[in-house]
Amino acid sequence: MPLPTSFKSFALGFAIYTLVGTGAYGVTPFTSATITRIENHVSLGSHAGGNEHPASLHDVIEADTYLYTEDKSRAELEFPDHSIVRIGQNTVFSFDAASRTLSLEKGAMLFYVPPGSGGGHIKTPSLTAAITGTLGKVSLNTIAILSGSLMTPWGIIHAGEAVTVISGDVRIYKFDQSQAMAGRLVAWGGPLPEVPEAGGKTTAMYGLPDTHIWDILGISQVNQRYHSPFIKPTGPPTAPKPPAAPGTTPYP
Amino acid sequence: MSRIPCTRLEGAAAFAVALLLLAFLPGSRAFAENTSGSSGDDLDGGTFYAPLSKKVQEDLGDIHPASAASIISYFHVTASVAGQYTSNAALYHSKDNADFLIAPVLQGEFAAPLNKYFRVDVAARLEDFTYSSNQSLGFWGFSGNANLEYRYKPSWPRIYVGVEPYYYFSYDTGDRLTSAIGPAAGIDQSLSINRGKTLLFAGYHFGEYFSTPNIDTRQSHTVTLSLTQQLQTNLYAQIYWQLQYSIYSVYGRDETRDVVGVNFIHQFNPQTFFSVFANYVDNASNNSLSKYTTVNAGVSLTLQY
Repeated sequence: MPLPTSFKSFALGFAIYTLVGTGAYGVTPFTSATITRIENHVSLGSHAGGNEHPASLHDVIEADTYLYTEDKSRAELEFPDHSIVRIGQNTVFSFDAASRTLSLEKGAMLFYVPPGSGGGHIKTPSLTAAITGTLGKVSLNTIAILSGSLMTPWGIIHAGEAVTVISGDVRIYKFDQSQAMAGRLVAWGGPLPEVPEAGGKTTAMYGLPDTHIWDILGISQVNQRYHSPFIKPTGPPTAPKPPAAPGTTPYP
Repeated sequence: MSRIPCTRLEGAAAFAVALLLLAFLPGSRAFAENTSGSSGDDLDGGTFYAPLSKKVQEDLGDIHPASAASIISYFHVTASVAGQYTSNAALYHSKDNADFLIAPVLQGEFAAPLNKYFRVDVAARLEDFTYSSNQSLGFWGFSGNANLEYRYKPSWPRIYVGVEPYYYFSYDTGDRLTSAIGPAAGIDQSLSINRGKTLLFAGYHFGEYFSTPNIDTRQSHTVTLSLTQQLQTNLYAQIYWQLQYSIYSVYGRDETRDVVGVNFIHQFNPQTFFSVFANYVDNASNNSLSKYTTVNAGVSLTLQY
């Protein structure tokens, strides 16, 4: 009897998830990360025993450290393999070295793991998933993928899709693309390598030089001059000349 | 130089049709293939999703099923006003004819992805150019663009084809100053370096404009290079250079326009930008009437929703 498609998909997804999750690649562990951007009040603490203190730009944090942001506060971390995590406001974030797990205990984050870097895991109170080269947004019970893919026990989540878990119920769906580049974490800190236009037109950084005005002004002013009965166009001898308006004297 | 506009137009149209076919056939199929293997999925999303808190939405945007998205979310309105000093209002040689120009623009735009490779971008603008002293030079009108964009991967160059119409009226006479419609195409690419603090941009744009009156009928090739640097969280500096070569079909005009400029942009919030800018324009031409140089500097405020 042929196996149901849903079972095959689950088996495939679980196999890939397990393969990636067991660290089948020879990869650099997430032993430390550097704070590359910081906004307002961000604190660091140790899971081993409190010692919470304010974080500063360029601080290097270790794997047994958690990072906590207050209201209107954000931070960006960069790992040695150039993976990037942007942590939103009111968020608690930590990471595990050996399993390369990025853990969101509260709040929101955006992650970017470069292709070929060895992947890792994303973990929230509701979800655990494996990644290779991926850019995505994470809240407590939802992961949305902007680039690359995400491997979950329920299947592969492709770019443009999100997975949500509510009380054990799982749904995978195409999310509204008009929101793909929305959100302060996408734009904050500049473009991400995988999507240089991240932030789209909502961020001044992506604005292109507006030279449209010179197309219009050049055309209009020069056009008016060519149509002026007082100015005689030069140009090739064979070029047609505009007629002078009746009763006017052409420019000598 | 002999030109056969109709042949070029047909070629551009065929290219646009081919891209449209690509947009609706393989892209859609690829997405269906991607999603068909998922188990326990609900790709329509239905009503099952967890609404994000306002704070999380502020950081991530609103992640909700595409089926729950309103078409309104793909529409954007931008209002901007620029006030600038110009050293040569008439754009005639290097004539000292300084003036102050106010240029408000109201733009409506619809931009939406068709699938993972293609998106459409349609914009219409209402524009006004009013000079403080040389009021007879003022004009107003409409312009727009409708583009089909293709990008193989998010980090790959953007390729687009489309049309760009415009229609302007002279304040002095009340009559049509110029109008045109032009098939256009281009390719551009942004590159993020320096951990996202620096954005490099390079683009090429081609336009074939069929104008009434036909004095503006032309073919133009434009290359733009820019570098944008994030100075502070909400402050950016941008330098750019643009070279445009245009061949006009009337009077045998060949023109080369150089624009170099610098912008400082302060972003108050995602909806509001303020910029201070300066630029130098040198328009070289084989026709004396079209040659000009001008120096400009000003400020602009942009609101977008």
